[in-house]
Formats: sequence, C-alpha cells, structure tokens
Amino acid sequence: MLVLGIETSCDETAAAVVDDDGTIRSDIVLSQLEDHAPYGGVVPEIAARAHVDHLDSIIARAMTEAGVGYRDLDAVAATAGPGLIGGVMVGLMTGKAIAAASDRPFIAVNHLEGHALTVRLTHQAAFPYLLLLISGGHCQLLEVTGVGAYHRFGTTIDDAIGEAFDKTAKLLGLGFPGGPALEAAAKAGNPKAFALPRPLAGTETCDFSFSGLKTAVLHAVRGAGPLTDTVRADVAASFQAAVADVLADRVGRAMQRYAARHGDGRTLVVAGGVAANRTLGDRLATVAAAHDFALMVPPPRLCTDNAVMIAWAGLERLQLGLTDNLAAPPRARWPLDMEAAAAGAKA
Amino acid sequence: MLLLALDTSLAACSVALWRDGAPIADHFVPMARGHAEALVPMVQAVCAQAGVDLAAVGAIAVTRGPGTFTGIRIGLATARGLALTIGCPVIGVSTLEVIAASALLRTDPAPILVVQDARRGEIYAQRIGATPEESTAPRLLAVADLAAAFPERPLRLVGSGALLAAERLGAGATVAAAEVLPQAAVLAGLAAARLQRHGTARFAAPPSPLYLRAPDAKLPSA
Repeated sequence: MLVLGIETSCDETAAAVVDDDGTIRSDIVLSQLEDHAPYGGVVPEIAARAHVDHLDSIIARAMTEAGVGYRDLDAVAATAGPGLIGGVMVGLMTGKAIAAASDRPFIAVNHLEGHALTVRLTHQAAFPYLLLLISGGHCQLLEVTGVGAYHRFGTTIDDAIGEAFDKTAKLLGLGFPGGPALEAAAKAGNPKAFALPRPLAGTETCDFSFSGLKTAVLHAVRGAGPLTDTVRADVAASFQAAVADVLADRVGRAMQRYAARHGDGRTLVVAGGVAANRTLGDRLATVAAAHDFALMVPPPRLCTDNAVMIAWAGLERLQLGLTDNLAAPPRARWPLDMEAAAAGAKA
Repeated sequence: MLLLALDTSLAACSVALWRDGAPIADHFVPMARGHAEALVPMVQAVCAQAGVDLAAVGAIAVTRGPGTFTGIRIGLATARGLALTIGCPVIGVSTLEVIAASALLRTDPAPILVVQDARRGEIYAQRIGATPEESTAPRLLAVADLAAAFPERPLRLVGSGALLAAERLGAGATVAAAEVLPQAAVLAGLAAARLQRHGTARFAAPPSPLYLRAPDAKLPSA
C-alpha cells in the first residue's frame, strides 16, 4: 500500500511516499528558513506564499524519486491542521485535488498525530505508549492507546517548549531558529552559573509552564552586565538545565500515572522538533531508565516537520478505513486528545 | 478540448466546464468563507453533471488575483494539484479581467476600468480594452493617484471600487456595475480564447498568484 503525504503547516514544504511495509520511498523537505530568518520568526503570510509557489514541484519530485504514478497510490494524505492556516490550506487543497484527479481516497491528517505515530514506523512500536510531544508549537504528555485514541496527561499552560528556546535564543542574540543555536552555545557554558526557576516542578499535575522561566532569563541577562560569549554560554546552559529538570520532573510524574494504568513493557516515546536536543534526550533517557520505561525517539530527520509522518499517519488511518471526504476543513486548532477535542466541539 | 475553470478569489466559489466554445456545466455560489470546503466537491459535482471524467480535462483555468490572499491560494493550489495529476496546462487569468467580462458590458465600445477596493486608501485597477493588446496589467495604487493614472475618457467603471473611483475621476467616468463577482463560466471563455490564440506550449509553467501587495511583516529594528 502506497500513500503520498503532504505537509505545509509551518515553514517546511514537504512531500513523501511511504509503503505500508515501512519503506520510505521518497522524503522531500524544502525549508523556508532563509525566507523567515530576517524576521526572527516564521511570518505566516510569507510561509503561505512560499508553500503555494513550491508545493507542486516538491510533490512531483517525491513521486519521481518514489518511481510511482498517481494511479499507483492507494491514498493521498495531507496535513489539515493544526498550524498556520494559510499554509495548511495550500497543502490541504493540493492533496484534495490530487485525490480527486486520481480517484483515490483522501485522508485529512492531524499534524500532531503524524508526530505521535512516527515511532510505529521507525521502531515498530506497539500500542499503548506514553508520548512526550515537544516542538515549536506544543508541549504535551499523552497516553496513546491506538490510532485516534489519545488521552492527555498534561500540557503547557503558556508557551510551547520550542517557543521558550526561540525566545531565549533571541534574547541572547543567537539567531533563528533558536533551538539548535542555543544548544550549541550551551556546550561551552556552566549550567549552574545562573539560578533559574523550575516552574511547576513537584506539583501534582503533569502540566508545563515556561513563561516564568523566560522572564527569569531576561532578568538574569540584564543583571549579568555586558553580553559576552561567556555570559551567553552560561545563560544558555543554565536555561537548558532548567528545562531538562522540568521535563524530567513532569515526565516522571506522568510515568507514575501511566504505570498505575498499564502493566509491564512500558514505553516512553519522545517526538517533535525539540526531541532532537541531545541534553534533553540524555536526561529523558535517565528518567525513563529510572522508571523502567523503554525510551523510543525517532531520528532527528523524522522528529522535525516532514511529510513521511503524514504519509504514515495516512497509512495507519487508511488501514482502519478512516478516510475523509473532500469537504474536509482546514483547522488552525485541532487538539489531539479526545477530551479537548470534545470540549472544542461544544464551544 | 475540455476545459475546467475555478474561481475562489473573492466572495464566491464557482466551477465551470467548457467544451467547444460554450459552458457545458457550471456552479456558482456566493460565499464570504468556506471556499476550502466547497471547491473540490463542486468540481466533482460539475463533472458528474456534465458526465465527464475529471481525468479527461485538457486544460485548467484559474483566477490568479488580485483578490483575497487566501482565496487566490485556494484556487491556485487546487488548479496546480489537479494539473500535476492530470498532466495538463494551467491558464491563470486576472480576477479583474474576469470581473469585467462577468459584467457583460461588451456591447458598449467604451473601455472598462475595473476597480476593486483594496482598503487602506488603495485600489486595484485594470483597464480592459476591446482587444487584449489594449488592456493594461492589473496594478495596486493609491486612490489619490487614480485620476493621474487614468486620464482617458469616457471610462466605464466596474467593481467594488467603482463609486470611490467615480468620485475621483469626475466627468466622463461612469459607474457601470458596482458589485460584480467573477464567474468561472466567464473565466472559462477567456481562458479558452487565450489557449486558442497562444497554444498550450505557452502555459507549460503554472501561473503564480498576483497579490500586488507585499506580506504584512516588519523587519526587526536594528
């Protein structure tokens, strides 16, 4: 079974063809990094314009590399949200058009489900598992019991984790995107140089908060005098250590909760762009081992935004008969967990 | 040849199929939002009504703006996705040109100035002459600059900015139609004529959007 996946919800224009045996037949990602870098962040209208200019040629490349024609596909899957709505619409409309013209089923994929299911492609992970989803737009802990079956343990009550990295990097003048730049700067720094808070650590919930940490970083930078490379490195290292502590605490809490509901063979899956951070990854590995959880993290290429995960989520849904009609709407907000989705539908 | 035309560039969604010099099926629904949901099912409904297979389409026409940024992209992404799969050319046509033709004013020989309100004291304008050679390209200009930019008279004004433009242009510029929505059936006719005149080779590269306005984004101050 072959599915074409299309991803345009943020600043990567991507297309991929994936086989149900797990073979990635093609995986094309066009980054718009250079278009947005001068602005210090992703500009939605610039992103949408770039997607419509490039998407069809990216898809053509993905099909050529996969060596298949449109009639060889079993379905077409496109991200329908959540994300920047202008870009989402470009991928969604292109996907619907290809599905209609090739007379194939269409699947409107939740971008977060793409991240959530990638580990089933890369590690053949079985349900259930505990998922830590950490990216530029999200920070949540979910119990995953099946395709479309998510129960939220906790989420951020303010900024996403990647947002906190980007804002701190901006404050330190490290450029955009901030995550990788901050991680690199932190290597030379002392993680104990600045005493930063560990928001919500030790509390009963599994929620996160990063806005107070961001403010504390601002005060630390102001009080540190001239912004030398040493100060930059120390602030970066101290910030990253605080985030690692918070993640360890919150994930530890979630593991206890998860362990009370599930038996042996427990797994922690980490997905999303921030999962590529080594320091955080090492720390999560320690926490997982301490709680007797296996740790599974897809390779960095499949943690950041890509279309392989959209094609794979499409395959999983197709196999369960979960296809969508061609009136499927674009959704700027689309929570993955059933509770929040139901609350949103009522609102 | 079978030609499929789509428009989502303003406050309507429309699809038409055109064959041998006339529309064989068309749907037109005024809507301020919901184009992303309506468009592809409307394409399928029009094909079903005409009893044709979407894969049999030989060319696709689409309005490329100026219009709402999102609307333009919905039409273009769909047209380009269809064309990629079917393997046919896409003909992009100015939304203002389709508005002029949709106003059905061809019997009067006086040139048409299509003017769409662009807000912020600006207006989208395109002069449409009797032949393509006599038409200008669509442009965005300050309302205050209209009179200097279009001195010729008589002029018939068409579009949502017609009343605004009549005030600025004074005698000899008359409002012919103020609220005209583009129609895919009209777009189809314009595109079919263009295809006949130039041949398909001219349309090998797909059209891009005609925004006429830069994205709203400020560079951080140094």
